[in-house]
Amino acid sequence: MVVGSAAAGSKVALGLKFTCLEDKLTRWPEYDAFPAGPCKGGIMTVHHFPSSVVQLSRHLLIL
Amino acid sequence: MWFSLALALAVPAQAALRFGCSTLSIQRIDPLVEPGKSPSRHLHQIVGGNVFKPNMTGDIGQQGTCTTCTFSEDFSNYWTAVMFFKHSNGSYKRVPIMENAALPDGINGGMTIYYTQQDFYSNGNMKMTAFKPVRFLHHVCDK
Repeated sequence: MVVGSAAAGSKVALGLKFTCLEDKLTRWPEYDAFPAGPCKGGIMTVHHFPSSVVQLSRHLLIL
Repeated sequence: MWFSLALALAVPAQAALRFGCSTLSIQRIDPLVEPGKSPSRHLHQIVGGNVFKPNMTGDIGQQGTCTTCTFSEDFSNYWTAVMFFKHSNGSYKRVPIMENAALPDGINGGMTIYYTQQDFYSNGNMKMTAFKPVRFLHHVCDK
């Protein structure tokens, strides 16, 4: 199963999300693009498979 | 990403699976995008089973014997791009990979794997069957 494209020309990809961490347990919000500035606690990336269903990320709240 | 496992998640109970996987290796290998090629164009962090190699064929679940993931029934591999920080002097340094602090101790770096049906709270209208060997590719790079 192939999701996405290696030739993608945009920084936003269906199913790919980023969270800018305040600390190690920050889980929200998720952004569509890579954080533009520094993130104190690091950056969390989330890959959704299949990416045709992308509104599933609330499960991260119960990490 | 790649997995081949026979998971018996009960249907119709609401079910989701989450587990941590330590870093297995960081290598320029990509059996999905560039099978058989070493080095591949991109560097990856790999987690999971011990069958990982540049050209993976057959049922990995049958070939593996151990894994960096929590569940020993799953010898899948999962891999992602690796990020570098570009310093002002132009040099690049690989960004350290942090384990999921919400999981029990024992995972080093790596990633957290989820298997859900519709989402973590609902099955939706979906029924789950045991997985057949399958490969997932999610690729955004070359930008």
